[in-house]
Amino acid sequence: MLRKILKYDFKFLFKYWWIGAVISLSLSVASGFCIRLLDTSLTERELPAVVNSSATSVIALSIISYIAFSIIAMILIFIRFYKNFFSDEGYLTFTLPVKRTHLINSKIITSVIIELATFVLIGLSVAFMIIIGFWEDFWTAKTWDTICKIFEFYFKDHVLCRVAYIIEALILIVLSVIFSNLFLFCCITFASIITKKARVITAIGIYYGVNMVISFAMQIFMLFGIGTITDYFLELSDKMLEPIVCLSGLGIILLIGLFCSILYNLQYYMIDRKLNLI
Amino acid sequence: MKKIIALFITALLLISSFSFTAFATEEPSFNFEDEYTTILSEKTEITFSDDFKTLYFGNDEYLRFSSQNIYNDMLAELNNKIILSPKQEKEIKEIMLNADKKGVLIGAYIEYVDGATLSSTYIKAEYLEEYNKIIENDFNECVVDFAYPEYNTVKLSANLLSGKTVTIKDIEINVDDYFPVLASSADENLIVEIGIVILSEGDYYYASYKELGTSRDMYFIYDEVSVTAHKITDAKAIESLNAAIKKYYDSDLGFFYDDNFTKKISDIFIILVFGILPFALLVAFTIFAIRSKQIYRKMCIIGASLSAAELIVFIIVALLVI
Repeated sequence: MLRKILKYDFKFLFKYWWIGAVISLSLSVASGFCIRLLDTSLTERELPAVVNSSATSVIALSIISYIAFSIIAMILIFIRFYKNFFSDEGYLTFTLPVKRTHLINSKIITSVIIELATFVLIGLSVAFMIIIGFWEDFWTAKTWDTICKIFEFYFKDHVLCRVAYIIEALILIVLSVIFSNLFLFCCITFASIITKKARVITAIGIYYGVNMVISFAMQIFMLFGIGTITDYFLELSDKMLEPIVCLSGLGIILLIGLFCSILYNLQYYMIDRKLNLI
Repeated sequence: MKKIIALFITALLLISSFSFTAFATEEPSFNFEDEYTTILSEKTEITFSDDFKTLYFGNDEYLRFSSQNIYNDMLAELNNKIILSPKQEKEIKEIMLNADKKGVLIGAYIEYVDGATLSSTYIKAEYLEEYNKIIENDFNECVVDFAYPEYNTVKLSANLLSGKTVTIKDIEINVDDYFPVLASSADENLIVEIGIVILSEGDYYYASYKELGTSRDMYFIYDEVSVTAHKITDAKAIESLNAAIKKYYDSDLGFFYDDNFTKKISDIFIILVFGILPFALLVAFTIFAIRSKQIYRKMCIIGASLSAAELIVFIIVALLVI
């Protein structure tokens, strides 16, 4: 049943997502050519002001499109969650012969995939824009040389630890996405429980309220804690430093995983015991 | 819910009223009135020489000088009658005067008719020679002023400050770990800041402004500046300085400048977030797992496992780092 729910969730999201993807990619290609045009106007001949300003507008538009695309992708995820669980559709959703965990898992999986896909697509768009815009400068031996040197430098020592960093970073990104989405799902669910009207505004209020508290705590930690943690690590010998940093990364992953587990439990509990769609 | 809000507001009011009472009943240790008065008489007339290099306070002569290292506060306003020559009256719009408590220094802020201004400090003539001697490091005794708590000072003789010269690297200096060194006139009415004592990695050093080629107004230690200084090696002097430093860091404000303070706060934070919180969650999840059934039990077991794993990793990292 999970596959079927995933299919319908993806269908809904992809219906609008692909439009944003196509617009971002096309604008990035267009802005790549505009960069070449502007570059030519600086070095060879002067172009009319209209052409110049149009080219600049296209570049600006493409940057705006990346930001808008990422925001719209997030909004789509939350609209899908809200509509599927708390609107008229919610009555149907909760009467399906499907486990509650499957319903939640489907939302989490689709949200992670869509957000990561959005992130990758924006990265590709920016890459296309740069590659097309600086075509001649990009495809030189120097560029590849630089890239090879970076890899060489990165994997010079402690290869295992460096590979572990990359894996940990990827896991952290995925966990962060899960955490942020679960957090907002919990806010929406909680708002739907405590109020029948203005659920969305209440959810946003709860989200920002809790976010402020967390940000305040984080700022205090950044003010006092970060410098001391780096001092601790700097006192270690070179041999010990990298493995300990790796282990610390693992500890952070486990901690975020723990917080995700708490939010998941909370979400399940609220949907299972507290939700009343009447 | 209403009860909880009411309790919260009551607690907040109680805490704030308690804090207010505590502050209100605390006696101020600093008498502001004293610092804004001077022994100079208000009835005495003041005149200036034509070039404004000399100020005459009745029969007393005050000479204009470079006051960069003066430590005296000149907070007392002088409302004395100022008598100007006809030429001066044409040029000067206004003169504002202030003085220190002991009447050794007078500050003048002169506003000209054309909009120009001039700030000058005048020293009583009999103190000028003594001031110049102190500036040239010709003194017998000095005082290191730790500022907090009040009167937290250490007396040192001049010969203790002429030890081996070293260069303290920028990374070894903390911008909060240096304190002014003061030398005074024989009657202690004129106080001059002649240098600083630096605490760097457990050792004390004295850096004189004369040797650094700078002055009190111009010199600040930033983390990226290296300093050439004399190392203090006298055991008694070091003991006194250590005692004063301890008093300083134990005081209300010095507490915040202690490196250990930030370390303690961050240690508490790290232990709380990575140690105590996962432990509490482990206990909570275990209890819920025992009491719950079916799906809730599975979820609690997952939560408990993650908490336990995180706790183990934290303990390993902590042991390795310590």
